[in-house]
Amino acid sequence: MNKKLIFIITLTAFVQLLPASDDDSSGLIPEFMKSYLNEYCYKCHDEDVQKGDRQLDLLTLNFKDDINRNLWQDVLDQLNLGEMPPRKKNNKTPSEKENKKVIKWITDQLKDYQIKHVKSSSVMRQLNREEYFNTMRHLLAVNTESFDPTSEFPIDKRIDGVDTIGEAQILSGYQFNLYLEAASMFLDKAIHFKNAPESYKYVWTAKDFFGARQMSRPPVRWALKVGDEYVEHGHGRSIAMYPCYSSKFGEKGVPADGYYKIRIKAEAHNRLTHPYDAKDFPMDLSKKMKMGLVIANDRRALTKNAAENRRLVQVYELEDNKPGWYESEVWIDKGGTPLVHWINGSGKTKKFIREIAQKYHPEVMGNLNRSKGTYNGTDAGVIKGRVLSDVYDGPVMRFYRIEIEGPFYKSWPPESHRKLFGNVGKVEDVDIEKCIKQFMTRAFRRDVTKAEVEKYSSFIYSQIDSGKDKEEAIKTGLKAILCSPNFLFIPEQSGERLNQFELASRLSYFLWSSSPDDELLMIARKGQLNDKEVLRSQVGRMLGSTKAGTFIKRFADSWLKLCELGKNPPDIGKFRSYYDNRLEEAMRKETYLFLEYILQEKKDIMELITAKYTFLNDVLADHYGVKGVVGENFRKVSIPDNMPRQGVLGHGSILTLTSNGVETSPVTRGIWLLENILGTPPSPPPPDVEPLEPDIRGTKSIREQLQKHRSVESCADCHRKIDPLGFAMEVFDPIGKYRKRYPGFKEEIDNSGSLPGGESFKDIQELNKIFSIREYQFVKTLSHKLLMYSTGRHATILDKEEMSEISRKILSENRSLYSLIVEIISSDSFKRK
Amino acid sequence: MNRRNFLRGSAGICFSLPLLASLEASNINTKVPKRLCCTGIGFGFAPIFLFPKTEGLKYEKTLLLKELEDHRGDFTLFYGLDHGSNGTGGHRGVHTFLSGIHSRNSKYMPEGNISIDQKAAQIIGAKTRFQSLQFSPGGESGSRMSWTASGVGIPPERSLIKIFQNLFINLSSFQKEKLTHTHNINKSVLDLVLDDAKVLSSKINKHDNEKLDHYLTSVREVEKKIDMSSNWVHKNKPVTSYKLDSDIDGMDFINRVPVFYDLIALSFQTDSTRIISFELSDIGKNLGGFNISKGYHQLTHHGKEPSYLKELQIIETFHIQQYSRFLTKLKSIKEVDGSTLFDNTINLLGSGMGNASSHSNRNLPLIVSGGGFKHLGFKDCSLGPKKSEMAARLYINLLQKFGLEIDEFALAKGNLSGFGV
Repeated sequence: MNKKLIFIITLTAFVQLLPASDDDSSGLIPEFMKSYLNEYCYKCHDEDVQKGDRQLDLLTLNFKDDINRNLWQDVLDQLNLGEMPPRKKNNKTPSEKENKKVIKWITDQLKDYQIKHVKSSSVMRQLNREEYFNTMRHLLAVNTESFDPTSEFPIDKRIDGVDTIGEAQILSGYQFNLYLEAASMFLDKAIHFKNAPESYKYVWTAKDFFGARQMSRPPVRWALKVGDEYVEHGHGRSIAMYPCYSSKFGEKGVPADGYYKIRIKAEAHNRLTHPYDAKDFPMDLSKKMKMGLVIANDRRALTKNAAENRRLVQVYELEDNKPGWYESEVWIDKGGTPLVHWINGSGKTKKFIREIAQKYHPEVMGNLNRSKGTYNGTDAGVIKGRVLSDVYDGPVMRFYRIEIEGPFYKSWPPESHRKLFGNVGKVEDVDIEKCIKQFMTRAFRRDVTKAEVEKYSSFIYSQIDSGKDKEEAIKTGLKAILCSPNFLFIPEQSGERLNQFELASRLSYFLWSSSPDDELLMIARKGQLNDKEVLRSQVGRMLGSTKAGTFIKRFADSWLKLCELGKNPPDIGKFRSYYDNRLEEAMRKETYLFLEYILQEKKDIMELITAKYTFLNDVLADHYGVKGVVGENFRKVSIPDNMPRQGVLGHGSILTLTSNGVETSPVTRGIWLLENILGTPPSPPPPDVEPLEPDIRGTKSIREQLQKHRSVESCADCHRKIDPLGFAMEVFDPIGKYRKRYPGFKEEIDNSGSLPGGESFKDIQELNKIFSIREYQFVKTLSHKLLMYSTGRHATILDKEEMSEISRKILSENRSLYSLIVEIISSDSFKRK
Repeated sequence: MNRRNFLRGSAGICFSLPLLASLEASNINTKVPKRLCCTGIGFGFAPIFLFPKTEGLKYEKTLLLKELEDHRGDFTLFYGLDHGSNGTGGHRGVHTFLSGIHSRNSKYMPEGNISIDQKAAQIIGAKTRFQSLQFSPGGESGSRMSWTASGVGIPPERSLIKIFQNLFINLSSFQKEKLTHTHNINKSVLDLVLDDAKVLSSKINKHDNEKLDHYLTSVREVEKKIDMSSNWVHKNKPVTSYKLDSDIDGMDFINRVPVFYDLIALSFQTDSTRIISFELSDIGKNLGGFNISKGYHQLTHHGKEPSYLKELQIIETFHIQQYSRFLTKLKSIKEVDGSTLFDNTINLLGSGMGNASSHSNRNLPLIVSGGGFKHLGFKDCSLGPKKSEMAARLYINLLQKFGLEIDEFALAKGNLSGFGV
């Protein structure tokens, strides 16, 4: 794990920079340990050869030296896993007894050091980007559907997938400047001493829609039928190229933040009743036409190709050949504009429209090929002036009318304002001390001292004295609170064991990625968080709250690397359906719903990788080849027995994020499995010696290529662990679709392989069985990750021991992810700084 | 490369720019300022495409050097330089390109893993509107090029529209006033929170105090920045006739890269900044607009397979062609003293990756051009078979040329001899 990475550094270059070793190092490594290293390790890990970048003749008894201690820990991990010394032909391997003896000795040394010298190992951490965002929006109750001042924050560094590790976090002037800006933006959204903005009703009719009146889709010309009643859209696609909205309205957008009632009159016209052959159309007309309601957050988001800054808020399945009203109430920030379009339409129209014109309406073809579409009258059978839209009877979406009414508020002043000032609507009535004390308590996640309140209040008074108006002075004071180290960091000051408030923060940042709410703070104040039953019921309450959605998301990001989905966007030429059917969004949702179900329904933890069910909507089910799922909504669906999809390994999200957008890579997928399922990440590629360049000339398949690659010995060491796992997943293409063959190949894909331990498998289903036999390793990997995530530190040897115990207990008792979380929270490790 | 891109590439900047008055005035007695432009290619170059065999100016044209033929004599391609074991780690070593120090080792160094551009920026102060700028056409590569002394990778700006706005579009007087006001508020906020930090410091342990130090440093950095920018808020930005397509940011990699180079040249020409780092890693959507069938990363692992090499060559040739065009541009821009912008710009093109096919961070491709150096063509610096010289030595030459009085950088002491005026 990344501890391994930490010392990969070049010991040589830094020896002179390290603190001089102290008295602890004076002892000698016992003879049996030395001879073990000599016999089984130095061959590949000494001064001359450093496979995996490990040089073990550097080991000393100076455990205070981080690098040395981590190297011992790594040796221990490898021995425990049975990965080292490698079982190869011509290799001398130690006996079980020898192994046990050195494992025990190293464990004792590390534990001894930990108990004697390390009172606490968490390094104070700051709120990461997501935690900051959540904390701010909960603290200030600001609607953040279209509002995210953290979008420019640097991406948090992940260690083993986890982005809460204090030691790895970095703060900079650049980042601090963003904190200053974000605090002001949040406060401006939250505070409202003015009256509620007036509400209006805007009505768009057909003549207001869309700028262009006609389009040349060479060679076909098309005039929008702007009768006075409706406009027709014959194209449309997930990313709205030509959405329908009022361009005049779009110049300014809505006048204020708030909820708006949106009513749309629209119709799916001629989806099944058109006179043409269904095969003439590239889109799937067997599904209902879907109308997407999208909010463009500002003017820029209205430009033709804009995809960012738009928010799809609702998908409606339209009734056929009958205009209907479709309604919604949505939050829109000032300046935003709603737009609608046909999201499962054809996208580009050029090709099929031309073909239809040629086949069914030759009389309009003369308008082709000529500039501006004016007909010169020479082609036979062509009718002058007639354009395709005059006669076209194909499937179109009709938009009749859109009404927008608002803004509305659930209350005024809004909740955000009341959270700060209660029902005080006039700034002159604000009690500064009271407001500051209350806000500081929530922001600092503990009781605050009188001196602290005084410091901030007098700051505000001095601002007022210097001529600022009271509202601005208060805002400046609140801004300072939100930039204080007491807010931006999660300080743990009480030594070895966390105090009640600190524990409350650890708990809420674990399960909510946000600050403790008033109830949790109250319980901490009463000192009840050491009570096992209270703790248990709080976990239940917290995981039951909507705020726990963040946990599912962040758990998926940390454990499964789901955050990497979309970083290598699939090639649009090869994988059109990925975009047309909004598969990325659907895949992400599948994984969230699945994890949520496993957690909340307290399912057996191993179902994470063995479940023969998942959550699908129509397009994702089509993608997987699962029949009978109709409509946009997700539901639990059984996977037929003959399909090799099982657990998260069968999720499109995982299969896509482990590909590069063009091709699959067994290496990437193999590494993903080693890291996240087996918990045995491979060493990084050999760095220090100039490796032989792999030569794969003359190979046909990826399997052959990798075989040849493995003929380079320094590559083979790791790739014999990595590649076989990846081969098993080759039945899924770069966007997770099942395949039997590579494109352009006749032979079926060979998915068989064997693991270094000797177990062999013939396909992914058999590999899955091997995984489920190794359930202890799987659960231990998960427990380490969850502990790291929640404590913000690398697991120490004491942590690891306790997690091993917990993993065993979980597997022998009620075997659920839910219980694992409860056990971790109840553990000593969780309560230790 | 497609035709459109070719045309775009040769369209060029309009050079009727008025030079900054201040520059003109100050130039009667002082020298034209030095600039530093560091361009990094995340995956590097395939060594077989790049390195010739013959040292000196009479090197033979390799596949990539062919594209730099116009500049023979005006650049030096180095061989046998790298960051030793500090730069290793395959793709995880690439970020050491300009620093010579792995980010995880930054805590052992007095100035962390500071990169040469940020080191150079230390002597800029408030002389230019931007102390330094970082650009990249996209992708969250995670392997940053610019690193501050506190170990932070500076995220590059990806939007050409935003870059253009920052450089050339003036704030309204209302915006200026608001900005000054915000600066004042921020300064008072900083005073208050520093006091909080002091109180907190006495309550937490040693390790935690190290973290709190980052906080204090950050606050001071912001204070300094406010002071420096306050001079610039009310000054007008330079005027340009350069036009950007309004949907340039949505275009493919091959269409955007030339525009980045144009804006780099413009930034230097108008003295908006003297230091730019430009990171090219991901080619983004639509395979960058290249006529290729596989991902860039995949292609770099060519394993000598001809079909891979052929496609990789398309991308690498593009990089060098565009760079060559950029150098030509710099040569065409005259400075007030009659020299060219090229003469005064220290250009470094290179990578933290030596050979992507084997994940090697040894023997980095490094090309220095312009800057007033006496160029050597192809120069082998290796100290023996498979023994390289420290690339950081070369960086000392560059920094000295830029005007820093240093003879140590990263782990190197003393510059690379034989490369100078």
